[in-house]
Amino acid sequence: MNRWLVIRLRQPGLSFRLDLRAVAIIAILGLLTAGVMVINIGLGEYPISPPDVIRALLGTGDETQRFVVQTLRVPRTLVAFLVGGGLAVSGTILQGLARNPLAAPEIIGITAGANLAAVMVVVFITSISITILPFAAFAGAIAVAAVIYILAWKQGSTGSRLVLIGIGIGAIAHAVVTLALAEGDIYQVTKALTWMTGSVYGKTWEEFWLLLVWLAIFTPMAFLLSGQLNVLRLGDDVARGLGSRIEWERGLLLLTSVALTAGPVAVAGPIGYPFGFVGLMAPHIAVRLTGSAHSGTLAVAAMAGGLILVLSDLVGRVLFAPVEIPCGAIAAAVGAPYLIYLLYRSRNV
Amino acid sequence: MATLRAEALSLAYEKTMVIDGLQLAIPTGRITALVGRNGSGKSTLLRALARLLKPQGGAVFLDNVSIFTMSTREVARQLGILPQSPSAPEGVTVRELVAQGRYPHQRWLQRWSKDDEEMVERALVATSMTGLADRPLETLSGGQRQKAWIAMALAQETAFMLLDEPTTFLDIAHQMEVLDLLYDLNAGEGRTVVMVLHDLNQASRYAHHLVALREGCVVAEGTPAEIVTEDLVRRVFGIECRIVVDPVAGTPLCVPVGRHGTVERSDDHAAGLVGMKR
Repeated sequence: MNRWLVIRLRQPGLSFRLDLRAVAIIAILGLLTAGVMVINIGLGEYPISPPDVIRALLGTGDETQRFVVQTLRVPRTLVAFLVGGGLAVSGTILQGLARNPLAAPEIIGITAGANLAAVMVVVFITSISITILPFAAFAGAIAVAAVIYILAWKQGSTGSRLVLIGIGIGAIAHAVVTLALAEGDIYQVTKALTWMTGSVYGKTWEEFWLLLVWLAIFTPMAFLLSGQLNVLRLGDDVARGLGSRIEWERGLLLLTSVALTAGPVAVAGPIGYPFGFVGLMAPHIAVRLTGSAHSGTLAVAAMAGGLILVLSDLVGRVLFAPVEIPCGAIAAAVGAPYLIYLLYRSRNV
Repeated sequence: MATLRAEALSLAYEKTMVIDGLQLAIPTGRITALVGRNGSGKSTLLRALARLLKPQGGAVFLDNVSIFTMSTREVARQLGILPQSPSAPEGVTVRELVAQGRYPHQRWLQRWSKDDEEMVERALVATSMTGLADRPLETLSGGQRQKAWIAMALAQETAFMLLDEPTTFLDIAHQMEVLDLLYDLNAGEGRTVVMVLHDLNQASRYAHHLVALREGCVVAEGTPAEIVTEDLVRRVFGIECRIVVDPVAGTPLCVPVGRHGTVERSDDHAAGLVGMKR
């Protein structure tokens, strides 16, 4: 059976198709995410029951609860969702471009590049507003992506070569970070180290809006380019034969992917680095759920990535309560075994 | 009628010249097979005809316009290329793959027009893949998978279809199925087919026009009946052979002579068979 929902308009001339299964999965993931968010918001030193959380969200109910929910806890969980969603879309693009399931931003050094630049800013340029952090992280990630592109992609490249070169460059970036941490002022280094664990603890509305604007530019770009990505997934020759300007389109997609890693990393730190977590796992989950590495995967991966991070934030908070474990640590604890599982399962990565 | 030809074409990989100053005109509306030994430049030539390889010199002309001056999308609406052993990502269904063939016809807001849908269905019917349309590619046999790729190229709706060794890695039954399908597409819809084939006998049977290549040069071209001779096979493949008439198709059939397994030479083919019994 054809499971495509076709939408066509004559005025303006418009037509596209949606994978019905993907639409259903997105709806389910959205509901799950909302549920986990409500639980997450309710937890803490000042516990609030889920019905009260919903009341507070709607602007009714107790004033203290409203303040705790709306000002303190909602931005945190929303930031977690955005971070997860951004990383997931970034990973889906990279894995598609490289045609390799290991090509996650955390693994091929994109996160490491963003991390390096951000740590440099935090350690050495102390008097700086957080608004510059996404741009520094973006610059770092772009620099790494450019080096990888030149070394691995210029002559047409295999996915495994890209992954290996990426791991090498990530290691270099990490070495420089270690050097910076050893040389820097102790107060700044502590700040950088905390940031490097990756956490959404204490995120404010300011950071939420910052990230939202950033993602609002690059996520639509990713979706607009999803047709191009699908064609590139068939290999360079087929893509070129179908009329894709592969260098240009790959460049645009790479840029989008890098931006979608840089923004989240700038706000929440290099979550899951260097094992790969959301950017590695969410695309795989999307493929499992939709049954296909094709239509709808971008959106499903975004929802799955958001859910994963909101969930790991929740787990980090309840696991050793009242001590909070940053979601970055949870990410690493899950990401590393998953990476080993991936390597074990696939003989030809 | 659309035309495709190469003019003083020179092709190289890195610094190694593979083809130097080649002239070739593809007969429109016919099936052309490129044959030759491994490394004779036949796949290289096909890739250049499909603008996958940029020439060092000369040009490929599609309707008298050099394809490297056209937009790649414009070329894709007139010329489809199926490279050797293409691969699709995990889980992609036959229908999704075939729909990719519509890519050069789609625009930002027109992603799935009525035409797109119809052409995909037609391509599925033409390749008799309708029943398997919703199966993921990796669950199909090699022959079915190759037919799915051909269906994708069909959905592209091009006057020219170029295929690089479409029968490689297929068993004999699937080889015949794929070649019969291409023959039908040519006969029924008048598409010009250009393919690289390994098997000279299959090429002789299924192609109207043969182009024999050796070391990047066209040694001979013409209908199989005209050009396939013992001398040509010696020059192109460097082997001794006997040419007999294919008892099924009536086309030339090349029977190679190796160093072993040969009975005494007899002018009469039937006598040879008798000799074998002895």
